[in-house]
Amino acid sequence: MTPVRFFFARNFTVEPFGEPLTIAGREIGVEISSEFGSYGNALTDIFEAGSRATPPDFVCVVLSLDYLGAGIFSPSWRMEDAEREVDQILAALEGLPTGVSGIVATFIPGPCCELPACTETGDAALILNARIRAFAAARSGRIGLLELDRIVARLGWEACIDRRFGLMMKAPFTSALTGGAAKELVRHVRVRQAPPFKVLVLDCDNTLWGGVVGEAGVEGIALDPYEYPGIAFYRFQSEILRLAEKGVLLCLCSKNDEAAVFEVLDNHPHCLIRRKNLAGWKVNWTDKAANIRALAAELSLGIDSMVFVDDNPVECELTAKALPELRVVLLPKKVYQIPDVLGDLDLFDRVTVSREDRERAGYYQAEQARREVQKTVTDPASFLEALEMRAVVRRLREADISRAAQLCQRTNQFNLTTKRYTEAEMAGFLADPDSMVFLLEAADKFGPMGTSGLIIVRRRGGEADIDTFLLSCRIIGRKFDQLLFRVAVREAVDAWAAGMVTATFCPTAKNSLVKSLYTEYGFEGSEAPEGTVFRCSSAKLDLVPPKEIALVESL
Amino acid sequence: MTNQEITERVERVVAGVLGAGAPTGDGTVNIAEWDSVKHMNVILAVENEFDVEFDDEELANTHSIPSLVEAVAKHLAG
Repeated sequence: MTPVRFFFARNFTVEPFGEPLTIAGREIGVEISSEFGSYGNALTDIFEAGSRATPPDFVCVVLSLDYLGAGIFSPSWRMEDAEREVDQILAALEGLPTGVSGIVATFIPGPCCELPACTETGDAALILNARIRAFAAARSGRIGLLELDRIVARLGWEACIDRRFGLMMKAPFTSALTGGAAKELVRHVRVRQAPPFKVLVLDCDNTLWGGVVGEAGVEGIALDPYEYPGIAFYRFQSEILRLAEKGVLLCLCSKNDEAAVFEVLDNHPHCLIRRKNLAGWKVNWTDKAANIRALAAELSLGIDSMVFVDDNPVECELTAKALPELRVVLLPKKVYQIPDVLGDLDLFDRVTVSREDRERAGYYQAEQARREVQKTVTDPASFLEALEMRAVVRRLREADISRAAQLCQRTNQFNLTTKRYTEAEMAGFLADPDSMVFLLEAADKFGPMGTSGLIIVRRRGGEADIDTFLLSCRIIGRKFDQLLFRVAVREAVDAWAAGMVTATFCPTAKNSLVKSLYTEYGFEGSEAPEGTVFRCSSAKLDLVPPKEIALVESL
Repeated sequence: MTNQEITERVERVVAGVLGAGAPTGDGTVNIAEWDSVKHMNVILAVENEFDVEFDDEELANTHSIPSLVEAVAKHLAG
């Protein structure tokens, strides 16, 4: 493990930081040792530590703001004295030699703020804290800042503060606070050790907004500044934009219809992330690893500088497997936790992006706009094998009618004819000897995905016609379509001794994904008033179920 | 709880906090590391172990296993 040495200059007891800091360091593979200066000599201790032949890696000065100057509770305390001491300490931190990182940690003693008589002194501590914060902010990258009160605010005063040892030994912190402080300090270590992430690659549906835009439409997605759950995604977008302002490049990588995604970015009233904020995008049906690789190439940045955020555990695992150097972040299932994800991870701490990087973002955006190529699904076989997919293909039953009609009503993207059958019509198919309705139930190693595919085959003389063929968008691109099609058509062709299979593609605003599906299946197409009509002799069709999916009786 | 049981638990807690060598058999602690910060940690750990809170005077005079045991026993006796 990499050794890292901390030197603590301080004006109170901070030895209890040592052990949790070492423990937190081990979690990121760093062995942290701590050394402590004397009480009340922060200034000279900083100089001493910085001028050593082998100086420490970090000099962290921890200040209890009530002890500055003559001490806030002393009758001889004067603000000017406290300010002077702060300024001298900060100047010493700034003067540390190259290679030594300075951190200033502040603690505002709360109890003095609780007493009405001490409002003035409490305010004084706040003013001193603001002075320190402004100094550190102006030198971000050179001087780190740790405001212990933020930890107190998060965990609660009672949980963080030990009044007894605070007064007895100037050691006011419980292990809850020192543990929290250690985690924050380790973030500074990580920033120093690891190259920063520069690119944030984002999924769209259920990541930038709630719901699936291809299904729900722009009006149907959850994205709202006031209403839950839309507010969670709104806040998340706001966090993302904050990073973009710091110079993080934003990219989209979504299995989606590009037009639908940009309808949200361009026209949704509450979408904060707009087209102009993007450095690049891959909105298509190609696998995400390939898309992220392409984005990295376009931006001329390493994949190890990219963070990919997606709500789908399958996509996350497979992308991580294909690109081990990529940092993959799976969004929490609980929507209200989403806005804090990036802040908690803080992968973009102290990012420095050059002017060139910013300009490059604009360049690639223009380049991207010229490319309107939509790629078809080409998932690598190994990708699919890893999913351990299995499925049931079975005939429609009475109990399925409601779900079957619902699929017809709701499915947009993978829907060849988009016929919106009702429950009554579905019941009609069930009774009709010349119709067969098949349902697909899919599952993989991550769990069941429900009844998510439907095909209706109808007998027309000696031909079997595919009246309806649809797949729920969450299983697109994983060969479930082939499975459902081949099993269903095989059964219908055999039952009716059909020598020819016919099918139709009726274009809509949302189903361009599947316009070449039947051609890929081996059909010959010809234009007709209702769309493209396809024909193929049943002997020529490949009706062997794909080997990647285990066909089972029940899930 | 007998004094023997209290002693064993105090020894275990102190050893856990001080890390280095366990207390010696005669009940005294032979560890140079027992400085004021460590003392604070020992006190917190022992108080937590027995769910007691020492008085100020005890805090100043509990720098050995026997003195800690005595203080714990007093609080447990109520």
